[in-house]
Amino acid sequence: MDFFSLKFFLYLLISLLIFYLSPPPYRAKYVFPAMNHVFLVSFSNGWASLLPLFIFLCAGFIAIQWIKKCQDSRIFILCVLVVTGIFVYLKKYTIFSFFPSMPYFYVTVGLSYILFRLLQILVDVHQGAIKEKISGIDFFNFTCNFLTFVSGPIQRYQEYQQQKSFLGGRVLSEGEVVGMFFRIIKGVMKTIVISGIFLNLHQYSLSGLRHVFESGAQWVLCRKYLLAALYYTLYLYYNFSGYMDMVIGIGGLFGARIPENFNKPFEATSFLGFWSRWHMTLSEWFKIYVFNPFLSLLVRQWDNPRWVPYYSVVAFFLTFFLMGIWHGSTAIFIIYGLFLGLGMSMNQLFDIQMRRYARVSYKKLISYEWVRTFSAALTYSYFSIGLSCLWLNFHELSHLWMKVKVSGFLMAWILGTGIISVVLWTFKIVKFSIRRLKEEFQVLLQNFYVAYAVMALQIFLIAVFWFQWLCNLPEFVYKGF
Amino acid sequence: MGTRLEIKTRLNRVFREVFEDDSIEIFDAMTAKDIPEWDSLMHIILVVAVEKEFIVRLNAAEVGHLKNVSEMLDLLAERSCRGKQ
Repeated sequence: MDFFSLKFFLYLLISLLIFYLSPPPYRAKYVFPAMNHVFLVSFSNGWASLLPLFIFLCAGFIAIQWIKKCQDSRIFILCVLVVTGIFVYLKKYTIFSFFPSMPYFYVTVGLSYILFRLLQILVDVHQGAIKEKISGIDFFNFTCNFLTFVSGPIQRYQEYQQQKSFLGGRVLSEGEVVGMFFRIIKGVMKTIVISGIFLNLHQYSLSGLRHVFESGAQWVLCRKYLLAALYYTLYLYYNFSGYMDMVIGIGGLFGARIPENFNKPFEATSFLGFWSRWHMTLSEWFKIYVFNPFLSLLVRQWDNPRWVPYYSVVAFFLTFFLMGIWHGSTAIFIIYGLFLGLGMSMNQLFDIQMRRYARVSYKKLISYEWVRTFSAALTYSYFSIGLSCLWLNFHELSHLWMKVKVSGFLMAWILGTGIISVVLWTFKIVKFSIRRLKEEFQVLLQNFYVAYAVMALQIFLIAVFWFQWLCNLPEFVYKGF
Repeated sequence: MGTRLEIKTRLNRVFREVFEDDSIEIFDAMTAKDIPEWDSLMHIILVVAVEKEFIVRLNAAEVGHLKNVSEMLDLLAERSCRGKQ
């Protein structure tokens, strides 16, 4: 069921009605699982297409019970391997293409996010962080929650359990309901209008790039490639953060508290900082279940003060390499993983060296606004180039690599940094100049009628763009991961 | 492991050793923001040092969700009670 469809709108409306007409104790217990079930079934074209997902979930559930019962590390490792193996098989990773795949269509939407939730429970049950019994209904609601099923965010089981009491357990105030509607409209606005504009700009630049793919000079290819890359990053950001606004808003209407996934990522002044602002729940998951345990293992094994700081360089590389390859099942995502891992580890290495050899001057340097702007631009530009793996296929990327070489990509990075520095600096100047105006505007926005007028304008814009791009409505990018 | 005050004294010593700063005085609401050097690497070095000092092993969820010193003290006090039982 697509979020931007009449079907989903009706589903949501009927769900809300049934949810709030039901007695509160039944809401989380019966109505919510039924809603999740209907949502899940909407992706299938028959029971057979849901069977692989059902087997995956059953395997996960059995693994949880087994780990809890045995408390044996070998069984834990075996269960993690089996669950991950089933995931890799169902996702049809190309490196395992020699393995015969199932010869029919089956549902894979949300599979990657289910894996994260499943692994989190397996680790936490094994380590004793989850002690209570996990019922089948709780397991199903947590792994297949319709709010977070398609593209996250990745919620922890403990947080989900905590919010179960909120799920329809209290009456929402009028202000809260209005706030949720505003958040949903803001999300649709970001996804349909803003990300739609950047998608069109990206597609236009990409067709320009493909036009000169064979014959273009290095400089021309670099320039066209860079434009497509910068637009794609903005498209992805507005698409994904808009989707999150919608999910958080819809969840709020049911009384659920969905975690935030973005926090002004383009204000980050380093690649390390960027990942604590972009797809935050994914970064948090990798930090807790990959980075921390791996770094702890290294520190415990080789507690040499001289080398300890460099362990984090290795840990960052491994963590972000894995995060990169999680994004897709083809070989290009290995490159994406390498790119992310390299960015994080180089950033950490630079940080360690500067803190070690020029601590005072480094601290002073990063306090300058122009340095912060430049660093933010450097980060944005690097990330945009890395994201090429999401919109170029392996053949196109390797062709581009042969044509422009390392120097071409470096040129694109530097040029991108320059362009974004100017844009960010201009934004800062404008922001500073209209600070007073902005404060007055904020006061004005708090006015009831003005707020509703702004919302009406947003709805009008959404309607205009919706009909304009009916055939090319932006899809949720992360749905495909 | 001792009372909360004893645990706090020992934890303070661990903090001073890890961050190589004898002026550190831990307090309940203290977070990574209060010590500039407290980044993701130092967090793990601190956790490993705490584990050694108090002879405990913290799990992934505990390491990842320690919000402040107070939570760390609570956790160590809880482990202390569990150890005595």
